[in-house]
Amino acid sequence: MRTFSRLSVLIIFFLPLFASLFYFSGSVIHLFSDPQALATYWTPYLKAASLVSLSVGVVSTVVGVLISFFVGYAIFSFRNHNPQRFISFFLSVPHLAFFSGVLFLISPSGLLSRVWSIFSDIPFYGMDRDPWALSFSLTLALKESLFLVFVLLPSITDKKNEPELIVSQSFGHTDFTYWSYVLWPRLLQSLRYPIWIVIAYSLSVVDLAMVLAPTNPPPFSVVLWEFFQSADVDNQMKSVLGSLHILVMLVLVILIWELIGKVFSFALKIRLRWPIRSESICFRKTILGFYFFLLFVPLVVLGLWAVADEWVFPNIIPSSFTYENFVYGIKSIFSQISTTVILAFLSSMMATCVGLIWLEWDRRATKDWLMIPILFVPVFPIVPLLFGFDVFLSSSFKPSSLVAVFYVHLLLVFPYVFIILKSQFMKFDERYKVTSLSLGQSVLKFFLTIRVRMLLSGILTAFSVGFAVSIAQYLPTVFIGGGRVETLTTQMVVAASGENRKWMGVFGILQILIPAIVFFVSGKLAKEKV
Amino acid sequence: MSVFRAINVSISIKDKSLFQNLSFEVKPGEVLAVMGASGSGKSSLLSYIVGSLAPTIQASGELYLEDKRIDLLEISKRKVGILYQDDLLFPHFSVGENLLFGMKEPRERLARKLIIEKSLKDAGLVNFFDRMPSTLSGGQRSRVSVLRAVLSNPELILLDEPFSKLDKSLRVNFRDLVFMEMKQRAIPCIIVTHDVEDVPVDSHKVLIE
Repeated sequence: MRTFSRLSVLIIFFLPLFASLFYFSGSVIHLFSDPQALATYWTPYLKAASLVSLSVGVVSTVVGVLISFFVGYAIFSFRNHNPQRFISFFLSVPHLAFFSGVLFLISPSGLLSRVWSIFSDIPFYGMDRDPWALSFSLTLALKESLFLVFVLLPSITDKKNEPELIVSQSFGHTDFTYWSYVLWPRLLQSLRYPIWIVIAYSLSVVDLAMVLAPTNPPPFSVVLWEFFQSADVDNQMKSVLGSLHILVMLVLVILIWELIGKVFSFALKIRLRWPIRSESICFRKTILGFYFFLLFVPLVVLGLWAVADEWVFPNIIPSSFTYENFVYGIKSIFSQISTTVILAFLSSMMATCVGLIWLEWDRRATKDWLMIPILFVPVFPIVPLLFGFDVFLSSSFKPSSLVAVFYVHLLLVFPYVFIILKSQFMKFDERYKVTSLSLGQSVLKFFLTIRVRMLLSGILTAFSVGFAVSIAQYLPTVFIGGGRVETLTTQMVVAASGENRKWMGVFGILQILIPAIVFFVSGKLAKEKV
Repeated sequence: MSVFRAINVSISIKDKSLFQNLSFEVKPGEVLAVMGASGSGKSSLLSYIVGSLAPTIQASGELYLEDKRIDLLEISKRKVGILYQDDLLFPHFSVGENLLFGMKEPRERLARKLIIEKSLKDAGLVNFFDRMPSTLSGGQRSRVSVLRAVLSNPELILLDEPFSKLDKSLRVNFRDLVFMEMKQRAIPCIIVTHDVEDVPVDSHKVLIE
């Protein structure tokens, strides 16, 4: 069983990962032997696109961390309330659906513009696709702050009653002082890796950039994606260089962030005071209320478009509603929805099963050094990884498009599933296993009847997260599937490029509903079985 | 029942020796108390005997139950039961299911159920078969965990500070129950403890320094 588990993990994760990196490195080395390709690569357009990407990376990270600082404080200061359900729900909303909702809010004919027209005759030009990608960066910051807050939540809950807080209060310090000077610097250390994930995501995301980011020049990831799609040999060379370029930008933004982090720490050391001294309940409520309001409104607008029959400008709500958008929408992309669900189900199920078997039968699975390649995938820009993976597949066993897409989903889902499963295993009292085996039972019986049953809630969470990660994949599906595999997410990007708001609304709501149903059913199953 | 023998057992962590060449014998129904300071290797000794030693700890020495060498066997084949300071009842199983989990004989479920109900009655737990562990008191849970260990017919029982988390009144009752069961069933028993009060007066004692 141990050999089987090692072989499975090798095939579904380590082999494609190392092969991808190997082929990518090989292409880079080959490219440097062609000085002409290097000479024609760097153009003013690329320079401008790189600046947009750097701006997106820095702004979305800094603002995202600032939002998580204030929201974290608000959650910390409400001793008896834990908004985990709200955070989990908004976190499960796919980025593309959320970004579409924001687009419907801030575009020239969006809801804000409609409201504006009531009070003013001056036209509202919209805030989407601004040249410095501020709307894109801030939306990304808002959505990614959920991930950071989610990571912080268990620590915040633990710290609500720690004795140091009581001591601090006895000295007359406010919760805000304690949060910003004592707790936050400690928590920021644990946020280091998640922040790197946010940076990598903000630099390499393509589908969201197509919805909200500027188009001339677009963020660098979009330019890189255009290189890859091009049949021109020069552009193929540029795509390899571009993959290297995006890696350099990742390192650069991480360094910038680390520098900003050091400045923050220094500011705290020299006791730079925050302007906010008073601490009213109203202030904390305002932070949380405003945060959830900002997260909720785009979803409402998305939902309105999904059921709008006729919604002409400048009406604030549709003049008539219909459910037929859903009927036609589901009918027209039924096969894509099925593909999405099957891909997500199989990839997350397989990742969960292999992760569980590996952790149960192989003690090495819990070794810290093995986490390095697993943690590496989420922080590595997706394009170079996909490039190497594509070359690996086409030079090895050449699977069909659907199998190749399933394989890449598996590779990308596995780290998230494994991280959750491993944390569950680390929390599990291994003496249960010793007790079971000492009672004469086999490891298999212990695994099926004790481990799986006792960890069911965590296992189902890992499966659901894997499912949601798979549902949201756009670039891997299009890239590795060569455009021949269509899913709900790829159809949503098509609808976005055609600016078909009703379809975007319907597909967006479906994108939210499908993983939400999986989370809901998982939660119910876990409650019933344990 | 079998005699347990440990011959020349040595345990070390990262080349630091905890103890060397420890040999002892425990006869059926006898209790051997292993005492010593924290970090002296008492619990590691039990882990070596049961077969769950962490890979970072090195151990050597031969372990026999009668003439059968057990240190080379998997945990599930050793016939060594263990009780920890926590009862470790499986929370999703009823009391009866917890007890059935470790019982392989007799083969008919009904016969096993009858034995369990009688054992529960003898331990003062009448009509507890279908109760969930979460509905039991600390003392009741401890008694169920002892029954679970002995009903699996082990040839040796290890006790890893099993009384340390119980309050004084429960502690005396539970200790008496455990040692009475071991004596009645003639099971050799090794107990690791800090507290000399946890050890029966007539037991043999080994001190690890």
